[in-house]
Amino acid sequence: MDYFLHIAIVASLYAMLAMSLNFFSGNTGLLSLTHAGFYGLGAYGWALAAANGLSFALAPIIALAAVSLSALVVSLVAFRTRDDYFVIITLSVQMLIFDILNNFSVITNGPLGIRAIPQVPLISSAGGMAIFAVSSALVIYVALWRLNRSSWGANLRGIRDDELMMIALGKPVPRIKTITFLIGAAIAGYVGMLFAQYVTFIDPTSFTISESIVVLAMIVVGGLGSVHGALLAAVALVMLPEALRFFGIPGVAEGNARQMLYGAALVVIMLLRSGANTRVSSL
Amino acid sequence: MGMQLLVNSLYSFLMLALVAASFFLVFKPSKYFHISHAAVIVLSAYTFLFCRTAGLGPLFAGVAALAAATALGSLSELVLYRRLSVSRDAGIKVLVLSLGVYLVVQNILSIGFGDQIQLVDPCNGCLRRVLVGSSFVVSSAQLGNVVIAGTTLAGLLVVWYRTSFGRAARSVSENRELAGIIGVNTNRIILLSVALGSCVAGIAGLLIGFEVGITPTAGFSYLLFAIIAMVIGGNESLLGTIAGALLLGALQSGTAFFIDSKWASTISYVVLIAFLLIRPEGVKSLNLALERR
Repeated sequence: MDYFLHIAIVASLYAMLAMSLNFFSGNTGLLSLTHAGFYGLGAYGWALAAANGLSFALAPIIALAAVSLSALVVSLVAFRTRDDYFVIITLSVQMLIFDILNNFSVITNGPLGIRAIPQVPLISSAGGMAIFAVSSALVIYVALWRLNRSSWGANLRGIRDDELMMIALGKPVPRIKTITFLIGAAIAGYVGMLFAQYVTFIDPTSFTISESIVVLAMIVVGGLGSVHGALLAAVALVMLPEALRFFGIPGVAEGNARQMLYGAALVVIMLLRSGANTRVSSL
Repeated sequence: MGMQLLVNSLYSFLMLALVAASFFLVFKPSKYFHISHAAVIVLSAYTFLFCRTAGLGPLFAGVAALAAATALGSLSELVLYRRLSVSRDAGIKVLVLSLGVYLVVQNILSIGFGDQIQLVDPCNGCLRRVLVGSSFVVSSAQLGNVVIAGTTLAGLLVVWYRTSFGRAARSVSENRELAGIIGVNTNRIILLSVALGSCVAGIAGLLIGFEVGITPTAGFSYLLFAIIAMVIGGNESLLGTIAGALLLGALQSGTAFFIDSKWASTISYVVLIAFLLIRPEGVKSLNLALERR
């Protein structure tokens, strides 16, 4: 039973990560590789705030504020670039965040990570966490789906297709992009908090560039811009390696096997959609 | 003390220049951010390790390592990237595709060899000797690496600037369509350049393995260093990229010397971000601007 609860929790966490990355990257076509970084900042923000005796009401606010602030700084920097250079700059930000988590030992305890993260009573059991994670994912799913259908989503897709025209129409393009990026990052930070709560021990290796690529793979497989796609792809890609486990793939290399599968999925999808006229926005 | 810093800077310059030149050869003619170049770098070191544990001689292992690196790079271009080259935004698509290739190769290596740092040792510890000069210390691994990296770089410069392949590759880098019109077989030149770049990346991976050891994910920071050197160097010529590596090497050694070696890479990423923002054209045009004044 615990095993199924575990799967449900992991699938919900990844689903939220994928949906939040999709909200920004899927709609605007600007592929960000900093998502695992924000996820990590959320986890560390929560763990540090809670471990230092902040109340369970205040700690999430601090953590989310830290994530949003970093996302704001990143957006100021990254939005000056486009296409592949946007990917490269978000990639270096991701490496930077990992380095800070890994090296800034005075605060983050470096590679040793943070142990004994205080537990919020109601969600400290696997069952409580599963219910909380799944319902969080559902709420975010509905919210992002509605947002995607609203004029906000239309604006985002407009920016993707013709940014210049959107500016000419008088849309506050920079503000729309920044707010969307911030919402995505904040959700990732929130997922990080749930992750820290669930595993009770975090270290920087959970928030590497590979994790960012995995989430990107999920939204590419699900179809960029599609909320349903992101949700389904995330759940399917989490379930698939679990299914393989029953065919005797050893559990030791489970994490690696999963990432490998995601990489392979990315390659296959990109090859399938290699037609001359498909744009990255319509992957 | 100053001497040691100079020696360190020179060493990291040569290593960074090697990696940066290898990425330049892949990137410049094709214009693709071939992220799996990071996997190419480490694949060669692990192939070497694998051959050695299988009881093969160091020379054979070295050849096999470079062959594996060359094969991974050129097969990616031939089998995967080339299919996407016709589409409208090939650049970003190839980037995403190469992320996938990177994940696959890196995780195969992680499963096969584990995530811990492994030293690549061609000769039972001969690289671990420490040589003490009058005012500085180097290891025999560093000394050997300087020779190999220096020779390879010199060879690359000759190939790039003095051979007909080099001229063709430079013309494809400049303007692919025009190069095609004047009769350059652009696909073939790109493939050759990618193969050569991957082979050099293989050499770099071996040298990194000799000196500091290798992990399956180590290639990524070297890849970014290469991109940083290229951006600093103006993103235009091989010489500029090598000049960028010189600046980056000095910066990294300075950081390691005066602050802490663990922050050397962090500073590099900050430099990349700063350059992309403030001076995406690199230092070259900075010089020109100064001259004009």
